[in-house]
Amino acid sequence: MSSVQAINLVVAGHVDHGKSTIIGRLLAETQSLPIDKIKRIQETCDQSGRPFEYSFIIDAFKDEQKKGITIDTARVFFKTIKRPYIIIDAPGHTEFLKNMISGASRAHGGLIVLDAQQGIKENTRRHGYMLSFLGIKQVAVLVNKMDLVEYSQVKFENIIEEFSSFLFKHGITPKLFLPLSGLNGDNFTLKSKNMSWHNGPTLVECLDSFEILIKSSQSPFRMPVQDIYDFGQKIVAGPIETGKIDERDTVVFYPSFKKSKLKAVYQGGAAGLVLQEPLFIERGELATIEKEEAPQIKSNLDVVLFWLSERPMKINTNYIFKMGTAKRNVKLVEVKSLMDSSELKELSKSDEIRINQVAKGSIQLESPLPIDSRGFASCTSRFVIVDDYNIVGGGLVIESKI
Amino acid sequence: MKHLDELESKSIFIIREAYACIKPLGMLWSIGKDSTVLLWLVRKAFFGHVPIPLIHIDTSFKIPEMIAYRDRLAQEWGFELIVGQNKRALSEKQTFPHGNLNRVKCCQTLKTESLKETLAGDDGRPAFGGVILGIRADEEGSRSKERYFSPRNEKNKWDIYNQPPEFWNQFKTEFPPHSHVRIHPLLDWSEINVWEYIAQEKIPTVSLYYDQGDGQRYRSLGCHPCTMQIKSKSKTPEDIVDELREGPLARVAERAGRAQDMDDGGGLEALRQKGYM
Ligand SMILES: Nc1nc2c(ncn2[C@@H]2O[C@H](COP(=O)(O)OP(=O)(O)O)[C@@H](O)[C@H]2O)c(=O)[nH]1
Repeated sequence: MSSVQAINLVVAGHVDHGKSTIIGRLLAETQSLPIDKIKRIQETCDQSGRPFEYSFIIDAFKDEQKKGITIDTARVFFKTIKRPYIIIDAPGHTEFLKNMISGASRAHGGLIVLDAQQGIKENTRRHGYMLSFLGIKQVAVLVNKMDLVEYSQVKFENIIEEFSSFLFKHGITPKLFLPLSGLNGDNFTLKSKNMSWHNGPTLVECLDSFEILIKSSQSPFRMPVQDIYDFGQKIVAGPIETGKIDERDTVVFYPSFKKSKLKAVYQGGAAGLVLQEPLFIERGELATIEKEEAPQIKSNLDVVLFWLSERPMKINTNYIFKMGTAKRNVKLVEVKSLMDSSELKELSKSDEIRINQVAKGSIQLESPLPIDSRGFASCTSRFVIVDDYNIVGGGLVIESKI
Repeated sequence: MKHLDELESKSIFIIREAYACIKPLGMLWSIGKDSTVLLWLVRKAFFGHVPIPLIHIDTSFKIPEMIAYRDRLAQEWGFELIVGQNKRALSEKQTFPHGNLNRVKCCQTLKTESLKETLAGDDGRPAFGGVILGIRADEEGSRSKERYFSPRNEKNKWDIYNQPPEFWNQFKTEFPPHSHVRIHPLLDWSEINVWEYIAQEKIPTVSLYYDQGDGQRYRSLGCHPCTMQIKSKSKTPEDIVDELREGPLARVAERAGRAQDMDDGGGLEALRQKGYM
């Protein structure tokens, strides 16, 4: 009886290019909205003497409607005949990069909305780049407001040419480019009569063609230890991030290198291991299987990292590093190259990383941690930096060049 | 993996993170279906145990079946239950049912105020550092923008314009003194998912959710003066799943029977910024 798995999609794009309108219209056209919702929005519009806009459907906050911008990542649910979707709406204002990242990190695929008349803007590029950085491989580009350019095929093809070479440079090959009008509903559920030159799918068909990339159980077993529970028997608890395990396996914990046979394994959502040896294990260790590929144990890491705080990251200053369930003090040792994530051009060398910049460099942990620089598990390759109680940056460990 | 399995693992991961990082930790239990699913997930996460106290904010206007069910489950599953109540407002009759407050003000007084007081601790109990809640993103607009770990300042205020980033299973778990964090493990669940899970796991729920023969039932539970029944013949969780999927409820909002949401257009949004659940 269980339902088909929902697909999480992040929608990004420059402000005013039509994200909210497209999402609102998708909800309405797929009949995913409560009837009273449209009625209430219509009433509010009538009272304030404003025309109805599809974008109001997702602008939930009162004062957000006053400002007229979408201010935070919001989840929106809808369904097609094929399956349910959760849309993660990422706001388009420059200072909201962190919301974009929060949204994109849980998405299976991405949609980049751009205005056919305005063309490619700062955030169109920035979001395209961040999607690639966050590892989102399936991306569709929605060329919106085709009604403002007389549904011109030439205009559409110029945009494809310019943007796909940019995306390609950053390792994204878009699934497709789709010409739309959020205002008039062209190419949402029905092929547009205004663009008979376009023989690709409709927006709904496009979404239904996204795939859920299955977590590989072929990868080595990795379980970051969340806690040790002692309700009668000691259970080492944590999520099975990759791979699989059974009772005949021998586990090795890193960075302690402690080893034990298993007495019992709890599988499923509430996973846990019962060990034969009376080991002292703590939160922050990584459980692996002895006969599989071992992680590298390192404290000097080559990384790519992005910075989200007004206060720049400075070299030789203490920060907190969190990866999986582990936590360490960390220092930035060297910035090797620096890029501004909006202009996406290389900057000259510096001893600090500023807000919205992406850097390649090296960091030094106070003590070593298990790392898989192949990047198959986020608990051994993706980290965040905490300063003054807040997450202020994030990054990936990359292969060191010796 | 099936969708429900994925939702379950993610929620359990969040619950365990909260338990490992935030102290003291409590959980709000409204007795409704969502927070009862949450309670079920807590028991799974901790292998049959409920190692944190549950908090119930009792406005005194709850439907009697809810209180009976609450006390029965507390006994059967053996957990600590803290009941919060704004006794002063009740004795001064500062409520909507007494005709002295509008609905939104009444929610603010009997629920938000009492929640704040309970979270702040008392003689025998320190203030909570965090509280787990069963809100879902698909319930209404402001909840759709919530974080899994959502900080509240010393005045319980939610700063929606400056929410912490959350990615790669890393949450905000460090806090300055006197603030607390609201933890939302069910954010990604839809109403249908909740009922599918209740059916799959055979979770005991209050009878008020089911038609008892008069063709009516509650879709969402609250205080009796402000919660209305809907017309429905669903007698089991399975019936409800069908009804939500294909039936007449497929396009009617879940909280349509909750009057406080409508009072001034954005009632719930305003309430939530000030500390409502
Ligand atoms: N002409 C035209 N206007 C559009 C279209 N889509 C959106 N708009 C308008 O563009 C403005 C910004 O749209 P909105 O959806 O709020 O953009 P967002 O900031 O990306 O969410 C609104 O005034 C919309 O009515 C379209 O396809 N054609």
